This record gives sequence, structure tokens and C-alpha cells, in this order.
Amino acid sequence: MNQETVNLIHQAQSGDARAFHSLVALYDKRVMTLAFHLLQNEQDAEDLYQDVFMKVYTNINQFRFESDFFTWLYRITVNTAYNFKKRASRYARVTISDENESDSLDWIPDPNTALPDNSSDVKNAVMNAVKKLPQKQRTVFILKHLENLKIIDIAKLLDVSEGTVKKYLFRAMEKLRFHLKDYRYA
Amino acid sequence: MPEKISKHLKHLSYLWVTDELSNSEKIKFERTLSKSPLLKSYVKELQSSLGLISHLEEKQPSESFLKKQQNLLRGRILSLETESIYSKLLRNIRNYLLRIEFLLFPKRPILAVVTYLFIGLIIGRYFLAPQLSQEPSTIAEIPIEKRIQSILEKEQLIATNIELKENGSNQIAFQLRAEDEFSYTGNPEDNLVKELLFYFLLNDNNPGRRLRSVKLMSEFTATDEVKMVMLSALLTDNNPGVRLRSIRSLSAFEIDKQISDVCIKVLLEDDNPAVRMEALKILTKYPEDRLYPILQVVARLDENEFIRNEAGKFLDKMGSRLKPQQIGKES
Repeated sequence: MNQETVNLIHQAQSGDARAFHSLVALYDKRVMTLAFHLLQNEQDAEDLYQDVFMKVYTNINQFRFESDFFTWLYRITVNTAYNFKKRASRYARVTISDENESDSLDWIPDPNTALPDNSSDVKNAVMNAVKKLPQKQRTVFILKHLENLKIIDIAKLLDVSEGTVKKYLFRAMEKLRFHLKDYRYA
Repeated sequence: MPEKISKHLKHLSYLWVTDELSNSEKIKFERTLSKSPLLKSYVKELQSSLGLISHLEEKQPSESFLKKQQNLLRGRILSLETESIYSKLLRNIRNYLLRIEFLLFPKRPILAVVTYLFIGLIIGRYFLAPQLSQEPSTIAEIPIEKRIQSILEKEQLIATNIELKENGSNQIAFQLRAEDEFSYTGNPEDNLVKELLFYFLLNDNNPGRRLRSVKLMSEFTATDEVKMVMLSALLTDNNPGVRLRSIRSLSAFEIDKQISDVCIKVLLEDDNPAVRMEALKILTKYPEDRLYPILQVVARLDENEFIRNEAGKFLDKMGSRLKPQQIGKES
């Protein structure tokens, strides 16, 4: 965390709304992307983004500089996503057609991962396989393979041991191997 | 060569594929890997499965989309802050009303009790026991101001008519009713006239009388008390005409942060477009940098096309006044 960020956090903690919005602008792209990865639905990701930053706004004084600000923000995002899914039971509503209805200008496919159209079967299979994972395994898997975090960072973020993270990852991977067995080497 | 790969080796394979092994663990594992075709095949299968993960959607939100989200967030935070200002405002109004109560019941309660006892005795002597008195007496002998304040206190006062006298005296005449009908007339600087209008604006069930009260209040000198009551009516009255008149009267006040905050809340939340338009007019008369994101929200999301256009026009004006980096930060 650089000095500028630390200053912004201090100012936001003393009630400076402008500093708070500068912090939002610094981190919101990563939060929105994580929200999308966790919920796999653009509308829900938008709602989660708003909920997360409202929580950050009302609780920013509880940030004690004991971790990186982004770790704190990630933790709030993950926890809010848990409650979000529990509260709205929206997870079951996620369908491919929902995603196709959203404004394509708002979300830009990452050119590095953009796929040809004929890969949609594989894509659906992977999405369904990931969605079938139990919540904790799924979160850990997303943090590792979509957010590209190291195991040690995921452990800090979720406040669990590295061993636990490895266990979740391994179990998730075994399940994915099973569900995707027909698509390997495709 | 074992026929089955142990769970431990599977764990290590996953950690090796995802580059999570330490150097020494990596060397050790690679040594085992080179000796076991079965393990090699497992690792290959693992790599292939992980390769499929790249098919998961990796979308990035666009910059304009993020700006929109940031503006919505600003609106929500502002609304949260204004709500707390609103409750503070209500507390202030309550305190103000309590202050009036203190005027009615001064700091010397014993003296007040003695006075009331004395008044009670007089009333008992002359009204309840008329046989003891040789001189007939009526309720009209109690000073009208005291009588009105006493009825106000009991919240039993009803206005049948409120009007500005047309004889050029600038006096306000009230036709009142409690147990009987009576009238009171006073000029706008008269404290009782103020109290009556405040009372009717905040309590009367009839929207016509509330409207007349707020109209007549614009004759008052612009004081904090008048402002508070008008702000309260603007935020709480369910009649759009009363809210509209309140906000128009408020435009005559010096626009301070309190008025500006309430106007922002009204602009974002009032369901009447005329009231929102007045709020927009007040806010744009005294432009502040913090308005920029709010106007962006209004210009995009207000249901009324005219208000959206007006907000848009003002944004253009502000845009030419603000430095580009300010717009960047605010929008």
C-alpha cells in the first residue's frame, strides 16, 4: 500500500467524501471484476459492487492498517457475495440468456481470454462445473484461477490456514476433472 | 511403479501445475514425475482440465460503466448523509418547539404554579361560582394571546380562515375555533402570528390552510426558525403544492449548506417534477463542485425529460468552469 493510498484512507476515515471516492476509483475495477467472477452475472455484480462500497463507506473507520487495504476490500466483497447469494437466492437464477441480455457496451470481454463462438459448449460445461462446486471451494477456486492469487494470499484473505485453502482447491479440482472429463483435449 | 497415484502425490501434482511448490519440493516432485508414467498422465490430465478453465468468462467492466456505478454510489452515499441531516433537522425542530414550551413554562415552576393557582382561583371565583360575584365576567376577558397559547399547547386550535388583510396594513387575520369561534389579527413580526402559522403549516389537516400558512410565512423576516419550519414542510408535507410553495419561499433565503443539502435530497427523491425543478433551480443558482456528480445522475436518471435536459445544460456550463481534472475526479 503506497503512501498516497494510506493518506486517502486516513482522509476518508475523517469523513472526507472526496478521498473516499478517490479510493473507490482506485479499486473499483478489481472489485467489479471479482464480483462478476463470484456471481457470474452482470446485474448481480453491479448490486454487489454497490453493497460492498456502501459497507466500506460505513465501516471504513474499522480498517486498522493491519492488512493491505485491498485484502480488506476483497474480504468484504467475498463475505458480501456469500450473504448476497444467501439473501437473494439469485444464484439459481443465473442463466446464459440473462447474460446475453445485458448491455454489451458495459462489459468488455478480455481480449486475452476471448474465445471463438464454437467454444460455447465447453464454456457452458466449465461454467456449470464451477457453479456446481460448494461455495467455499468455488470461492477459493475463483480467487486462485480467475483472480490469480497465490495460496498464501487467499489464506490471509479468508482468514484460514494455507492447508485449508490447498484442501479446498484440491477438492474443487478433483470435481472439475470429473465434470469436464468429456471435454479434455477437445 | 504403484498402480494407483496416492492422494499426497495428487496434491503435489496440483501444486506443481499451479506453481505453488517451493524449489526443493519442486525438484523432489519432478524427480518422482520423471520416473512415473502414470503420474505424468495424471499431470497432463490436470493441465488439460485447468486449460479448460480459460473458457470461463473473463470480462472487464468498461470505464464508462464504472463511472456510472461510481455516480450511483455517490447518490446513495449522499442520500444516506442527507437522511442523517434530515433526522438532525427534525431534532432541531423538536428542540425549537421545546424552547417555545419553555417560554410558556418559565424556569421558575414554583412561581408558575402559584400564578396558575391564582388564575385558577380567579376563574373559579368569577366563572365557576358566579353567585359569589356581583360582576358578570366572560372568557373574553382573558388576554387573547394567553388564551391562544393555552389552546395551542393543548393542540385543540382549529383555523377556519387565514388571510392577509387587504387594507394595506400588511396584517394577518386568523379566524380561529376552539370551544367557540374567535379571531386574532397581528402583523408578520408578531411572535404569536409566527407561532400560529408554524402550527398550522405543520399540523393542520387541510392542505389549503397549510398552503396559505406557508405563503404568508414568506412575509416574515428570513430567520433560522422560519427556515427550519419551511425545510420541515418541504421534507414532510404530503401535498406537492405545499412543498412547492415551501421551496419557492426558501429560494428567498441565503442558500446555506443546510438548504443546499435538503434541495439535493428533494432533487433526487421528491416524486413531484415541479418541486424537483425548483430544487434544481436553487442548486444551480449557487453552483458548487459537489453538484457535478449529482447533476450527472439527474441528467441520466430523472424520469422527467425537461429536468434531465436542464441538468444536462447546467452540467455543460459547469464543465467549462471546472478544471478537467476536477471533472475527472467528480464524474
